[in-house]
Amino acid sequence: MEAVPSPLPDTDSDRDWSELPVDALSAIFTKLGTVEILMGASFVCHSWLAASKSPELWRFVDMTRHKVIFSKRTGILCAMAKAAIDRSDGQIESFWAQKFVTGELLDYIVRRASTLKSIRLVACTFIQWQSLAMLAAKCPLLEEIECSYHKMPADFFKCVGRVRPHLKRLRVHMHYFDQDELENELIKHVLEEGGEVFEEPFEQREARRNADAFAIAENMHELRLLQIAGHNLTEIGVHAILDGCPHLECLDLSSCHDIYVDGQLQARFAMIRHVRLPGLMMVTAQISVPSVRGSLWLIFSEVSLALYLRRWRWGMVPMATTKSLRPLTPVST
Amino acid sequence: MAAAAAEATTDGGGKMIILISADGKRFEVTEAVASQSQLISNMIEDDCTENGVRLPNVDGDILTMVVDYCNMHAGDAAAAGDTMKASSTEEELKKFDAELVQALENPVLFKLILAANFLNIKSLLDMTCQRVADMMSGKTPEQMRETFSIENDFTPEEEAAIRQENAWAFDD
Repeated sequence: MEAVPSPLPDTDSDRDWSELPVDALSAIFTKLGTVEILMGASFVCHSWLAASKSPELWRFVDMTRHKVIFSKRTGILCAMAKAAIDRSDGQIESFWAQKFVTGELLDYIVRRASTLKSIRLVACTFIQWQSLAMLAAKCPLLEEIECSYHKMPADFFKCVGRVRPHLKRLRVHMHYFDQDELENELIKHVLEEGGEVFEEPFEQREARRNADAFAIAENMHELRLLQIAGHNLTEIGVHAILDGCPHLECLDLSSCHDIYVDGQLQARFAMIRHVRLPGLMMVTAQISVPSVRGSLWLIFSEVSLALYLRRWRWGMVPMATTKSLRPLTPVST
Repeated sequence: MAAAAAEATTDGGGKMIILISADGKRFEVTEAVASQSQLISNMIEDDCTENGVRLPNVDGDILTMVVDYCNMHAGDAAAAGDTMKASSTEEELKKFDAELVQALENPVLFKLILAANFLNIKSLLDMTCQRVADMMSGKTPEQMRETFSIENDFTPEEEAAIRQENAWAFDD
């Protein structure tokens, strides 16, 4: 390898990297990824710039996980995304991005990328659900939507399901958030202050918890993959999804710690090719289970142990006493 | 003579094919090994390998590496028809690939990419292109030019135009 680039053109065409065949250069650029091509490789020489403009390279635009995503300003990242979309020359099929996406960028995509089959947005908290629903309405080929770590309301699932009833893949991961704990804290606080707490009826509570699940079940019957990790839905919502989405092949319920997987649910999961179960919730030291009870819990499986611990904790505050053991048979009274 | 050799069969039952490099070196390989090259596979189908396959743009040293690679990887393709022959285990293959790719430097890497591209051996092209992509990753255009000894063939005017057109790439 020469230490310094020669000021004269390299006459040894055997190893003139600017003369790589376009196919090979395209293969390298594909592996290099969206951000690296846009930031570096494009500007090396004429032939690399020309190769980097091949629309083929821009069918799949992935602007996730690169360090630039975390260091550049939103405006710059949006400009990069627009350049990638322009280079695809109307052939883009997948647009994946993390963090920086704005409603204005989504509008830009809608106007130029009706060929889109997959949009995956991770932690893109600047956008409003209506913008993404609008994109879904304008991209007839869309098969996959991800909007993770940015909570979408049930209306989003309703709208998207209505305009894209043939949607195949939906991913809406989120960090599990212990709603019970927060609610219980609030109730405790109110009670301590001498206030009054009205008990939310079980059905109403379940309907609230499962609004997203019901919207998905009612409007997205063709789903093959559903990732809803960390969601607060309960087993009622899961049953609705299984009823409404009969073609599901992959169902990811990891970290959905409010689902109690009983035998009936186990049997239904057995019909699906890949299922990720809620798993064991991290039980922290602040939960003090009396030792006598603790020994009893051991007879349960890991999953039910976690559930039991949770339901038992509900019993510690007045509002939930009647519910503490009911979820085993989730029927209304 | 070449035709006779090409018709010969091995104990494995596969036909043998002669590959001839640009500098006249000859390599005898089984059909299963050679077929990993889509180019040669097509030639075998069209029955044009009887007099050996001349590869005028692949020199002997590079073809040695390509043949070694294909011999190692023939197991995947041949195993179905030749179950008795122990094919390389997955770990062995990984180790072989890792060592091969680690040892690659300019200009051998460049020539190997050209050969893999010309012979159309997808897995080898993938592996070598990944190596180049890894060498490029995180570098500025100037650093890439240094790494690959590429001359900056943009005029100052062109460079200014590029900077203006792609301001986002140069703006911190």
